[in-house]
Amino acid sequence: LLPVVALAVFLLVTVGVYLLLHRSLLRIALGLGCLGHAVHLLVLSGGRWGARAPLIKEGVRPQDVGDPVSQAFVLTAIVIALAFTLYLLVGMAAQTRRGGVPELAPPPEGDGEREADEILAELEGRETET
Amino acid sequence: VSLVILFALPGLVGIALWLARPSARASRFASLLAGVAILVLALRLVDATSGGIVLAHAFGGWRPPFGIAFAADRLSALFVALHAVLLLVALVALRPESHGEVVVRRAHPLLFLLSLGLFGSFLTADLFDLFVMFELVLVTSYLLLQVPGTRRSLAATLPTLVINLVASALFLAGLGILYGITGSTSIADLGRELPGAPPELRRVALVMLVLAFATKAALVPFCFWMPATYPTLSAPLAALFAGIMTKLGVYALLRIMPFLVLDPLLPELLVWAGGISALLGVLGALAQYEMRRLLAFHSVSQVGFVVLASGLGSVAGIGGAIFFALHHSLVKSALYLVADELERRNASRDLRRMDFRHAGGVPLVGCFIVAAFSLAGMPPFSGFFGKLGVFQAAFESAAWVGLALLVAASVFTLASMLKIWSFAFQRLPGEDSVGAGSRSGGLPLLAMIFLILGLGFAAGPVQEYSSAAAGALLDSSGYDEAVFSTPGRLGPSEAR
Repeated sequence: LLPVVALAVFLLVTVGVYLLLHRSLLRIALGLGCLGHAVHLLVLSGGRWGARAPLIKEGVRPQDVGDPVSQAFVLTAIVIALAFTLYLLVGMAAQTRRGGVPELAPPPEGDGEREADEILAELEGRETET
Repeated sequence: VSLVILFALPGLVGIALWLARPSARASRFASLLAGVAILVLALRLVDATSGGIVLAHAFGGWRPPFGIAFAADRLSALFVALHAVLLLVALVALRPESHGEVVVRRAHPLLFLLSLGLFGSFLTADLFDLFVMFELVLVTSYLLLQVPGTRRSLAATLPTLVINLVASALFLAGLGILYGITGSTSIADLGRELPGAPPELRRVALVMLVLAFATKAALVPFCFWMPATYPTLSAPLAALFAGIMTKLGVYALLRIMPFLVLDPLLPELLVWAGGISALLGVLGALAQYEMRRLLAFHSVSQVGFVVLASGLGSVAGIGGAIFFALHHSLVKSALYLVADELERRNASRDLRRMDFRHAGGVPLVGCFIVAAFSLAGMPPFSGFFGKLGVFQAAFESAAWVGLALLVAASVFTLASMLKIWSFAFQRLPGEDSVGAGSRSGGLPLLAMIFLILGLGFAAGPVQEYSSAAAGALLDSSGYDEAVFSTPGRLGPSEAR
């Protein structure tokens, strides 16, 4: 089984990195998803088969039992990854709603040509959009 | 048990503030009260651990390596206290009058939830728990970055989030491999298991962890998210972030330092990465005209000093790194508060639009001089002792290239401080400089300046403390014993 898992990890990392190199936020979110699942598979396969945990009933050989600890790790990580994917998509939607494109752009630098009043309002938190 | 209270208090306060949605004034009052309580608890923790005692608590009565434990030694206590101080300063500085009611009400609950994550990171004795805490810190800092709600803050936040998520994936992958070769993620247990682990896999796993922590600590070449995000934050939050967020990566690197020194390649890698960051970071700073971006590139450089010193792997090096990290947090936080004051008086973030009329008054000039001289490493201030410690450690370890890079970086540090000085404090008013804006309260800034001066005068005892912490980090027997002997159901002896 392990060579198959290794191949899957390899493919997922390849696809994930390829997608991450794009500017489109949707592709980046998908790429992060692939990368995350590659890591989850890696952690699962790194778990110890025939684990030390005592959750075994009659007639089950210990070496057939998966490692519950790495499963718990992956479960936690999946939940976290899901939450972050949502945050990323919400950020993407917010950017689109404000007239931007759903792409990762280099963040603007400096004050540009804006007026002093505008900058001061921003520094003082007077003009906060919701 | 006090570890649990210290960890739970900010979380409960944060959730309560989030659910109750009080007015800005009520929120500020409650936050200040909670901030003082957290600071008192943190200082008591420093007091309790200063004699070398390690406090430990195993959750649910499951003893490591099976359960998850919290443990506080001198290193943890120092970072907890540092964050408690910076949190209180940020809470005092974040006033509804000067930073907007909406900002204050949005930021307060998030600040406490951020503190929950940071305290958890500093106190945990388990690497997987550290991963979870890192995610908690990432999500709250992502939301804090959104607090201003401007287009620029959104545009700066998304790249930061993506970069940090890639770092998290690397962290988890490294952790999975570590678990695979040792069967444990408890720091104390890894200390016993890793010396006998297969060296190739161990190296792969540790390199992944180092890359993840280097991204958090903003080392070259993983640093560019930081200068992009700090200018968009609300100023007191920028002061807090500049003080503690890079230190989270530094703390994690220090915590796994006993594992890194098992492999001759990794400390060497850290020395190079630190030296290159120190030089390139400060060169990046010199090229900036936006004051907060300049200061953020500076953090890259100063974190380089810390990482180089800890990469030396000696007690002197790690002790110097701890002292330098402490000094840099305070100084950088103070400089961000100075930047806030200058920005609003000049109604501009750009140094080229500032002039001397708006830098007015002895207090601000004095505060800038103390902080800038300290950052540049002038003798009576804390930075001198910090740099002295790092240089001595590099000298003793014969890291000549690193030493040369640090000396060059120091020269440019002074030059970049002079750049701020010559623009913001000396420049004659030109046609593009605008009128005076508002002011923010100066009390938190003055408090930071007194802390910096105090650290300069108390440098001897603090350096003793940090080298004791470094010694206890490298010879982790006290830490391991405390973690393994927490009252609990299963100990390592019964399990094996």
